[in-house]
Amino acid sequence: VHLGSCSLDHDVVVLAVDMPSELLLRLSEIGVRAGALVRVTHRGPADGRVVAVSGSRIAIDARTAAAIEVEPV
Amino acid sequence: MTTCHDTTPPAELAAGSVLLVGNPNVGKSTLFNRLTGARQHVMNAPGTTVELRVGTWQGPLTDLPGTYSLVARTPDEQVVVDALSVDPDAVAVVLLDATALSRSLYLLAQVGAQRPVVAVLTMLDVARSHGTDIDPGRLSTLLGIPVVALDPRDGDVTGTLAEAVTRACPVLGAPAATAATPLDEAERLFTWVQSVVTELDATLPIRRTRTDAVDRVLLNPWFGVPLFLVVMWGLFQLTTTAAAPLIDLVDRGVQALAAVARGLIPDGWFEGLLVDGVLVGVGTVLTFLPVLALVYVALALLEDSGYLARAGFLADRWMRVLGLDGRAMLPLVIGFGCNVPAVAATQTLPSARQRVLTGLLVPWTTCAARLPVYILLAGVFFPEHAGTAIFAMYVVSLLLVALGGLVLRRTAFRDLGREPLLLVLPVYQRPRLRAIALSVWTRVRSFAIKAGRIIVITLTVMWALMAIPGEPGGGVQHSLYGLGAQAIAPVFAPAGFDDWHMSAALATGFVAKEVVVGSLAQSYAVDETETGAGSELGDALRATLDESSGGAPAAAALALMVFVLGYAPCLATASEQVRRFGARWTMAGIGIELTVAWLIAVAVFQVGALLTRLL
Repeated sequence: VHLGSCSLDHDVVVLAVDMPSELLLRLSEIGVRAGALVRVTHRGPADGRVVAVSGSRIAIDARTAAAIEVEPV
Repeated sequence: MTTCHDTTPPAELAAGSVLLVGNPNVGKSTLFNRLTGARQHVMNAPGTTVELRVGTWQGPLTDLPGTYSLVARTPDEQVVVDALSVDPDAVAVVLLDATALSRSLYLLAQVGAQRPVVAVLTMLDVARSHGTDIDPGRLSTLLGIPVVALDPRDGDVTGTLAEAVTRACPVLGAPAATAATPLDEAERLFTWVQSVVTELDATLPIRRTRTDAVDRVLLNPWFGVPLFLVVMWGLFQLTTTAAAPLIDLVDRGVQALAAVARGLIPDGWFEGLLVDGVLVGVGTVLTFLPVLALVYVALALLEDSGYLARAGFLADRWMRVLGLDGRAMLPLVIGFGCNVPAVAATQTLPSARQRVLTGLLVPWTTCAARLPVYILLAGVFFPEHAGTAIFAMYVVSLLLVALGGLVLRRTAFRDLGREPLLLVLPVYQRPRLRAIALSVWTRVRSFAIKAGRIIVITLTVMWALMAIPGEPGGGVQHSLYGLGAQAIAPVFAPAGFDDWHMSAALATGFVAKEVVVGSLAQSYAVDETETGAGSELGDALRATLDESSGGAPAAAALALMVFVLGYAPCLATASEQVRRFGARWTMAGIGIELTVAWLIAVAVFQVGALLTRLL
């Protein structure tokens, strides 16, 4: 399952991120890394997603959401 | 290197320089404003187009760009890395967001592994609303550094922080940098961060918040975009309708001052230099200040409230086509009102390369000052279809921005790449008027001093060129300026408007697009208030273009309109570009704009003239 296909307001755990290493590093730095508990809180235009990570909200585009493999809690 | 943890406070640090470091939107700039008050100025980091704010508080205080890491991915982040490495003994005040403590501690570990640091814990109230209460004392013990809990927006922040800075230390136990890959290095840091967060019991549960409730509306795919367009419309109105009476007021004040000066100074070259050169230059600078101030206030409100990041998310899809961040939509919309604040508005973009690219595209947004030229030419040469001709200019403007963006992205800005959208959305907050007023004042003052200097000098030189006769005979035509216009005119032969009246008006239009119509009227010695078909000015233009175009005046007029749309920014816009992006980028941009405008004007005229002959 990837993050873009997750239902709203359901907690999931990040399993892996399929991105080049420099983008993977940046995603990790802002909190989206393997093992992190996240929740999709909003769907935006063009299938963008807003993801809750701890107390933060992170907006990501559809392609990035599709690259984040997750598992329901 | 300063070491401590159990030694005497290194009091000499209080006199050294202090660097403010933190994630974007953590309250860094707000704290900087609170600490420095008006004792601050804006400057570019050496050799870059990255803006820094430098002020005085316990010695020099620098507000560094927001960053998530010292593994720099943008020029802005590189400035942070460079600033920290240039002065390894400077105290870094690192702001920690209590709602995203892991992210903040990661940066703190990178910054503070080997340099004296103080941590400022912000957003504690928001963390408490999530059910997590972080104890600053306990955090201080764990990190071995002073930790000050404060809200940069409220209360007295100076005393506590000043005392903490004298006790700055490197972070206890933070892993020192190794030669490992950045990802492996990050893993080591995350392990340390996790141990601190676990020890502190500071993991925030994910909860629905008030910000989430507001975002249900503002980010909704159906409501969010129309609301965003309303905000953009409001920004556009600000640069036109709202600014107009203020600009008019300043203009009248300057004219009154000029009248007084003329009365006091005896006629002669000194009066001309002072009134028509220097005073007109100062007046030009002053007329831009109201619109700049209004746009700065609007941008500060959008940024401070937290909406600006959302606007970036909403517009991301459209701007991504040009390889730009969604927030680039704001300067480009403002550009249709006035290019000067539009260039200034590029400050809201997160990376320096994006700011330069957007700033180079801004002059192709057809500002309100170009409209009178379109109205004049369309009214004279296309009286039945004037509206369509003017509308076409807006379409051409949009095409120029889009195509210009695409070409630049594949050439000079290839390095920008296709960045994914990874945008941390700040919590919605009530904007603080005092902080906004201070920020607006600092930026407007910076424009007046730096861009204003270029404008006044250029206008004074132009006055001199117009005042010095180049050949026998009176008037502008025979001045050095007029001779220059005559020398340039043949360049426009392929576009059908190779006449000195046109080239002189275009040169004047570089000073300000508003004066193109007046310059044309002045060169024909007719009344500029009467335009359209049948007016003196209209007849003169028709006669000139009829001759220069070889019988296709409408095609030449359309080519002239397109050239006015694209050829170069006005002096104030160029000055703002120099201030923000440097002379090299500004000159390159003007070169590109002149070339593209000339090519399109030639194409328009040649096709138009061919159709005129065929039909």
